[in-house]
Amino acid sequence: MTRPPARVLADATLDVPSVPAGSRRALLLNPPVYDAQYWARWSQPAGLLRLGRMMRDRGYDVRLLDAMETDARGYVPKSRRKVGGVPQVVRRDDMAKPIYHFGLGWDAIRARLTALFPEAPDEVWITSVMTYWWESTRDAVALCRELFPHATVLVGGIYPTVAPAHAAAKLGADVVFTGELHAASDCWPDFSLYERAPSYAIVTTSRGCPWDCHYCAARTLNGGSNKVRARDPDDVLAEIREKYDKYGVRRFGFYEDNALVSRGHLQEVLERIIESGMKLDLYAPEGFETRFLTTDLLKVMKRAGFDRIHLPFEALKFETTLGWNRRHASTASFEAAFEAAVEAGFKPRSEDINAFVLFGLPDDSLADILDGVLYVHHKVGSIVPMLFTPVPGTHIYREHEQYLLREPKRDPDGGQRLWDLQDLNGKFLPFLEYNRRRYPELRASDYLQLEALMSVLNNGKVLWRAADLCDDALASRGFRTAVGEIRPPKQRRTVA
Amino acid sequence: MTGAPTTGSPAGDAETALPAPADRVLLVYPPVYDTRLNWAQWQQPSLLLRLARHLRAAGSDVRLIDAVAHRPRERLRRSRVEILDADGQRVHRWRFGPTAAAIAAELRALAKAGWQPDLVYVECQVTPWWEGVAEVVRLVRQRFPAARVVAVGAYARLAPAHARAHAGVDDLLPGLPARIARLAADLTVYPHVPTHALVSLGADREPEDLVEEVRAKAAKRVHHFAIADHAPASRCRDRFREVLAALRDARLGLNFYALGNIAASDLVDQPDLAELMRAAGYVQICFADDRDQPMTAACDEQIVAAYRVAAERCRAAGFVPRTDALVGGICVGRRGEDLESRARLMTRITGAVGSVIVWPYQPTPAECLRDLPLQLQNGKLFPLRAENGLTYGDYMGLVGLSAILNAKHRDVTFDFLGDGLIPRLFRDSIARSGWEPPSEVKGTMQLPVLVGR
Repeated sequence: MTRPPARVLADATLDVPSVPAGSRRALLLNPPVYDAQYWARWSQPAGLLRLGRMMRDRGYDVRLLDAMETDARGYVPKSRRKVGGVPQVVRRDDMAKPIYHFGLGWDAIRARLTALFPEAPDEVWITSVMTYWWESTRDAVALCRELFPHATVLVGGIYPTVAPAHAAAKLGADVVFTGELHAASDCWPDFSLYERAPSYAIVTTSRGCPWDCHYCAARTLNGGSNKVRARDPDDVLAEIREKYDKYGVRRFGFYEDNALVSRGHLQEVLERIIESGMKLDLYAPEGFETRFLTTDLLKVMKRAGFDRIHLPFEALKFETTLGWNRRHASTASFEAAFEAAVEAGFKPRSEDINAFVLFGLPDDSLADILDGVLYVHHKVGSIVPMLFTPVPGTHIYREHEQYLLREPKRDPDGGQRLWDLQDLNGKFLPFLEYNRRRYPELRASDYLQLEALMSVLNNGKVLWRAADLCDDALASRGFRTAVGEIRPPKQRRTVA
Repeated sequence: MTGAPTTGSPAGDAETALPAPADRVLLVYPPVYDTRLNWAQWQQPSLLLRLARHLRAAGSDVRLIDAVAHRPRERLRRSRVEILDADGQRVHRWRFGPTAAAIAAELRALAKAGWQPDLVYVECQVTPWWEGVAEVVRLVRQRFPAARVVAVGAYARLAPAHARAHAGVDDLLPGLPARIARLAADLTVYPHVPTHALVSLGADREPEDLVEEVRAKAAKRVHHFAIADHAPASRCRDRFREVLAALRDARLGLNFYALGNIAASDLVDQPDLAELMRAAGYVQICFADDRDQPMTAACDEQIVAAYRVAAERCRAAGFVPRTDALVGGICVGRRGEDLESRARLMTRITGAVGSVIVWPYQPTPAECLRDLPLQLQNGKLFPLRAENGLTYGDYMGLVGLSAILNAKHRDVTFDFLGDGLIPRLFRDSIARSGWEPPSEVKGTMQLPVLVGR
C-alpha cells in the first residue's frame, strides 16, 4: 500500500500542546547512519534533546533512543550495510567505498524500543541531519510504523528543512517538520533522557547569519531570514553550569551559524565562564568568521578553555571566495586572525590552530587548491580537508540541480542511473564528472590523493611541530630542488 | 648505527680471552641514556645471550637483568635526565629502562635468595650509552662487592680507557671468541621470552644450524626475526642465500626483517634476492644507508638508480610499495656533508622506495672532538655539526622532512615525485612558490562594495 505524502508543517502550523502529566508518550529517535565514514565527535542530537526538554515541560512522558550514542571510548558501533544480504559499496570511477551501518543495528533498535515502550508511544519524533543520510531515516520510520502502527511519526531536522518535498514523498512519515521549533530553540538539551550522560555537550549561543554564502544552508534553515538572535549570556552560562554540576561535563562545543557576528556576545559568555571558575575544554569545530577574531577575544577564548581553534581558510584567492558570495572572508582577514591567535598564545605548527581547506566544488581550480594547501601548510601547519557536499536549499545546489539529479550518471560497471540525495555525499565526489569538463583526466583517486597530501603534510611532525616544506631550511630547499627536477615523461597527460 | 640492533662483531675474535669460568654469572644489559630509543623491541644484548649459552653449557648458573626488555604491548619506561641546549634548541635526554631502585631491588632479590655472582658481564654496544654501564656497575658493586665486573661490546672495544676510568669495570671484553660468537642466542634466560630475536650467520655457521635456532625460538613463541650480521648479502653472499633458501623450504610462517643491513645495490647485483627474501619470510626491508659511500653527485645518482631497480624487484616479489614493507636509508651527520644535497637525495630515495630512515652517523670516540663528553658524542645530536657549519636546527629540518616523506595516509606514503595529477600540480605549485601569493589575490580586511551583484 502506498502511503500518501506526509504533511509538511512548520512552527506556525504545528502545535505541541501541554498535556496532563504523563498522559502522552513520545519517543525521540536519533536514527543510525549509512555512510562510508562517520565522525562520532560532536554529533549529538542537540535539537532532539531540546525538544525532549520542551515536551517534558509540557507534560509528555518522553523517552529517547539515540542509536548514535557513543561508548565510553567515544566510538559508535559499525557494521557493513547489507541490502538483501549484499554488502553495499559505492563505486565512483576508480574509487570504491564500502558502506557501513553506523550506530545500533536494526535488531538492537527493535529490542530497545520494545523494552522502552511496553505501551506504544503516541508520537514518534525522528531527527534527520544530513540529506545524504535520508535512507536510514526512511528505515527508522518504517520500523516505528511496524512497532507502533498507531503512533504519529514526525521527522524534523536539517534534511526535512532543506528538502521538505523529498522527505514528504520518500520517508513515509505522517509529518515532515521544517525549520525551527521556536518553543524548543532556547531549551537546554535534556541529558536526563540518557541512561549514561554524554561526556560532552553542544551549546548554541546564537542563531542566524547575515551572510548568504552560496554553499551554506543557514539561510534556508533560518526560514530565509538574515537576522541574528543571541541568547542571554546568563542563560547560556546556566545551561553550561547545569551540565557541569549535574552531569560532570567538561567538554563543550559551540555550534553556531555565526558566533561572532553579534559583536561582543560570545566574549561576554566566555568572560562569564572565566568568572565562574569552571575549568572547561571548549571547542568550536565549525570555525569562526576571521574578521572578528581579535587578539583580545582570542586571549579570552584561551583563558576560558579553548586549546585549539579552527579558522575557515577555504580558498586562497579572493575572487574564489567572492564567487561563493563570501565577501566577508579573505586570505587577508585569515592572516590577521592567524597572527592574532599566535599573539594570544596559540602555537602555530601545532594543532592549536587549524585551517579548513575546501575542495570538491564545481569548477574547482585544482592549481588554486594546491596553492592554498601549501599556503596553509607553510603559514599554519595544520590543514583540515573539507570535501564539499552540495546541500539542497543552497545557491550552488540550485545552480547545479540539473547536473546533480536530472542528468543520468555512468556507473563504473557501465550502467547509467539518476542520482538521489544519498549520492550527493561529498565523500562520493558528486562533482567529479562535472569537473572533468575542466580537467578531462580527473579521476576519483585524484581527490583521494589530494586528501592524502593534506594528511601527510599534517602528520609530518617532529615532536609536536609540523615540518614545513616551504621554509628556508636547507632540508626544505633540498626537497624543493628534488621535486623541481622531475621532468614530464613523454605522452604526459595535459593539465588544464 | 646509533641505537640500531647489532650482534657486535659477528665473526668474533679468535684472540679474545674470556675471564676464567665462574659458578655464578650475572649478565646485565643496562638502561639506555639517549634522546630517543627506536626499535626498542630489537634492542637485545646479543653478546650476553650467546655468552649465556656458552656459560650454561660450561655448567655456570647464569642470570640476566635486561633493563630494556619489555612486553610487546608495554611501553618502555623513560625518565628525563636533562634538557640539553643544542644551538638554542631544547633537546630532552632520557633514561630508558626501569628505575635504579627497581634494578637494585632485582639485585637484592638475588642476594636474598642466596645467589651471589662471582662474575658480572655488562654489555654496551653504543659508546654514548656508557652512563647506563656506570649506573649498573655501581649498583652491582653495592650489592655484590666481591664480584668481578666485565664490560662487553663496542664501549669496551672503542673506549677502553674511559670504561676503566668512568664506568668502574674491572675488565674489558671487546668481542666474543669465535667459538662463542657462532653460538645461538639463549633467550631462555629471560623470564618472559621476547617476541623478537636477532640471529646471526656467524663466521661459519651451517644454514641448517641457523634454521634450527629459528625453529627452536619459534617454538617458544618468538615470531619476529632479524639476521643482524653486517651486510650479509655481500659479505657472505652464498651462505646468506643458502640460509634464505633453507628458511623458504622450512615454511616456518615467521616474519623476518632486514634492519639496515641489506643495500639496494645487493638487490641490483642479485636479481632474484628480493624474491628469495620474500619467500624466506621477509616482511620488511629497511635498506642499509650510504655511510660507506662518498657523498658525491655521481654516487647519489648511483644510489637512486639502485633504489629504483631494488624497489621494482621488491614490488615484483610481493613487497607492497610505499608501505612499511620497504624503507630506504640515508646516513646523516658525517663530516663534510652538504645538508641540502642530503635532503635532495633523501627525497629521491623516497620517490623510488616510498619512505626513508635517517640514520645518524655515530662517530667513534677517536673521530670526535676530544673536549666533547662521551655521552654527547651521540650521533642523534649530530656531534660533527659545528665542523660542517651547521646547527642542530638544520638537522632537525631534515628529520622534519623525513617525517613528511614517511607520513602515511591509509597506510601509504604520498608520492611527491609521482606522475599522478596531484603530485604534478603539487610540483607546479612548489615551482611557482604557491604558498606566497601576491597580496592582490588575498583580498582585504574591509568588506568590498559589490556593484551589480
